[in-house]
Amino acid sequence: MFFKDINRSQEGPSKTPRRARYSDFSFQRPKPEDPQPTIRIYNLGCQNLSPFGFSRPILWQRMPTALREVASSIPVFLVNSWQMDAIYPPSRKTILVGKTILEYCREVAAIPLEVEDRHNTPRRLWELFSLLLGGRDFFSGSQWETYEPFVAMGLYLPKPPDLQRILERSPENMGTGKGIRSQEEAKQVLQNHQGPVIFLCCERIYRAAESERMDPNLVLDMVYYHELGHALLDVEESLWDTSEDPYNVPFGRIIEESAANWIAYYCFTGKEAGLVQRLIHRQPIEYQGYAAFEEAPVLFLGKERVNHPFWNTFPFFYRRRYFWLYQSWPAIWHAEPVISLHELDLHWAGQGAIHITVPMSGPQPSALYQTIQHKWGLWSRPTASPEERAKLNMLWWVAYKELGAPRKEKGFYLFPLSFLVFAYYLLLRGAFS
Amino acid sequence: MDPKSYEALPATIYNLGSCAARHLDFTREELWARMSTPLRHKAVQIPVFLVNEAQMDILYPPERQKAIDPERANDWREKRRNPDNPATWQDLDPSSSNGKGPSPSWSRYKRIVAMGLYVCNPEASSEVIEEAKCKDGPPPTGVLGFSKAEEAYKHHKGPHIYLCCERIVSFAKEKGIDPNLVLDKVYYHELGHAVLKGVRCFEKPEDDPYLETWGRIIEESAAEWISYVHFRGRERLLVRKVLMKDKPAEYRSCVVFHRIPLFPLPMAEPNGWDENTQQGIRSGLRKFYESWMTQKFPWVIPSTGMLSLVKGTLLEDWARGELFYMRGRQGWKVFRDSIFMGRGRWMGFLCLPLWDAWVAQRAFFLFSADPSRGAVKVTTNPKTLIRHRALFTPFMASLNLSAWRAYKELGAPREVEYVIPLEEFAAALINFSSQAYVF
Repeated sequence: MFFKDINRSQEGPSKTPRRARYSDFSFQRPKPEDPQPTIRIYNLGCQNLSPFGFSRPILWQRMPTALREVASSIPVFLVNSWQMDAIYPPSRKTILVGKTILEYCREVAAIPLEVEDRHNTPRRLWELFSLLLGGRDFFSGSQWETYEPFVAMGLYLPKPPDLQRILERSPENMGTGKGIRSQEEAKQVLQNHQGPVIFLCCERIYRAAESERMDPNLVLDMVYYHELGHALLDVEESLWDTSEDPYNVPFGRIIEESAANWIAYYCFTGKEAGLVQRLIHRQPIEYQGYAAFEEAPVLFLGKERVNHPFWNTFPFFYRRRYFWLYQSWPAIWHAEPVISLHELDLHWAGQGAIHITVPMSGPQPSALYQTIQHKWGLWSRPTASPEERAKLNMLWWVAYKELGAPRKEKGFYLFPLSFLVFAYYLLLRGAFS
Repeated sequence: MDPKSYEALPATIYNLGSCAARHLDFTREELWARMSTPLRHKAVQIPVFLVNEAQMDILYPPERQKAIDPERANDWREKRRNPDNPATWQDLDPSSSNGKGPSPSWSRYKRIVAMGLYVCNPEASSEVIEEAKCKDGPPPTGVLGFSKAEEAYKHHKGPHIYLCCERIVSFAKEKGIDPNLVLDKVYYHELGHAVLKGVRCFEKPEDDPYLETWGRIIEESAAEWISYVHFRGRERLLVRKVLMKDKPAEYRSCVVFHRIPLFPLPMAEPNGWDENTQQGIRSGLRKFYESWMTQKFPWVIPSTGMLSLVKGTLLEDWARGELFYMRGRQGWKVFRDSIFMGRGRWMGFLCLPLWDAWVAQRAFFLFSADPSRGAVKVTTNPKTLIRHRALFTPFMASLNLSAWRAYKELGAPREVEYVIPLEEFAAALINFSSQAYVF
């Protein structure tokens, strides 16, 4: 969420990093009278731009408020696949191997809860969580080739890459189009720019559209919104390619990519949304949790609680409760009207952000609770729409990254546990529904 | 790429030999816009084959060619009221014993029921290819032609959906409605079966509870309910009054699918119920469903016969009338533990009306003029009662769907502890739909 600070840098660097707020994730559907965001698009190496229209009003008219703000602050560079391969980080040219991870999930899901209850087989679940958390065992570089056409269509980078590597791969005759700025301007911008950038590979987008018989502009929009989603989910002190980067462990990748795909999917409706779902279906397993991302909440455990003697003594309590909650979530997600988490001291609550009561309910809020609230003025907001739930999940994910995405706290895996179980839920729902 | 060739649809649709496919339009926005995200997610995954009548008759498995006559369901309900001579599934569905063959009434219902088919693990048959017609005609926009269809039919692994365009079009013509509306209804119904499928298909075909009469009733009414709720307003009325009216009883019972609870399974350790307990639970469940539907407010106290069904859960407190003595946050903790911990977690949905009542009671208690009055009379206003009942419907249905899906994911075990609640639920669906005057 540091794109706003690009403007603030004129006043000099601020000492305290900006923390994400609930209001940053505003997913209001746009109105026709809303002003057009200024999207800056530069061509660095695409030869054929004729199938694409970058000045179509629908490109920005679909964007919800939060994406418009990001879009107007981040420049977009069009590159060819050769350039894209050069700037794509080698550590990210991997995908999650669905087969291995799903075998594990099936075994875990097959354990009856009564058995788990008696502490006979928590080891299996624990093992899965350790692998989701720690290892690169589930990642595969050898299958990258299969999925590359549907994954490496776009790239978000928190800092501009080496300009020389891009320029030496640029072709002689470059394509031009309405609203697209030239390579000369791109060079100047990339030399001076310090903030995040988005790269779109027009060739791959066109090829993906051709293979799926879709309008290339629809694929372009989807990829662009997806990358804007990554920008929205990034933090001021970016963890990109550090040892702490949660993207390099399975659970982080599942949540990050599902969230970005949810953002992209949310922009579309009707038949277009169906076509976007079709594109997503061609992507690897970590991208498939987009539909489940709005279904269930991340139950966030406050930082203070991690070192609390009670939780350190009984880590099982939390694990079991969360696990049960998510396992029976599709069945109970209408059933539990509200869980108030003010007892859990959300870590940013002291920073004047918000007072949160976690709303948990079905896709359509129970009208009974609305009636009760409306008539009797109950203090809590009893229900939430899927968008609100997704917004809270994103906020929590960003807040976790702002804290440096800690994975171990005094020998316990307690802190990221809520995200682990949430990622497990996304994985199961993405794979089996 | 020519702009006109951007004709991809969210789902992959093949014309395997249907001439009437040209009357149907798959590019309509509303076909895809009506679908919810999970339904479209299924639509993206499963290929659709458009077939003609002869092909559909070959494809339709003989053990699934069953239909319950609504007239017979009516008689069955009357007969079942006699406790000395309880009516059996055999009375309702005479073909259920010979298993393989079609029902006597199948020929009458074939053209309505066999408009669509969902197959979990299909096997390609050359007969179907031979029966193909209109191979050379141009397929409708977005639909792939015969050569690609043949290829996909032979080699595509995983579930298939078949839609019989001839029957869809002739049925719409007969009823005087838009064939595309019939198409959407049938397609959503088949996608509903896909949503209800568990993690995997049944390895042994005889494990499939669809082959039992009660299993077929639950499965079909659930899929029909899923398709029904995707329509709104005038279209919903048309679907109910025109499309559902002529269907067999197991499809029509979807109109009460969201109104009665399916007890999640298992309710007890397998092989834990003796003969007497089983009888007690059967009659207890019967009475429970009767009073659930006939009482003004849908909160029913379980009878003593059901005590072994509710033992150790919050429902036991409910049966003893002690539930509302829980006060303050302690009350919430008892409630929470009883729905999340141990076996009681399955009971959460049944406690939901109680939880509503509890919240409402507390809210009312806080804001009422006379807080010293302990018990709260919730309401007797019939309009409010109807509204409250309507408010329970979405989650009741979704919980029934999840419970049914969870049962199938377990491998559909046939112990009495699983089967009795399912049988009584299916019987209640048939009973209440046959007395419903909604058609």
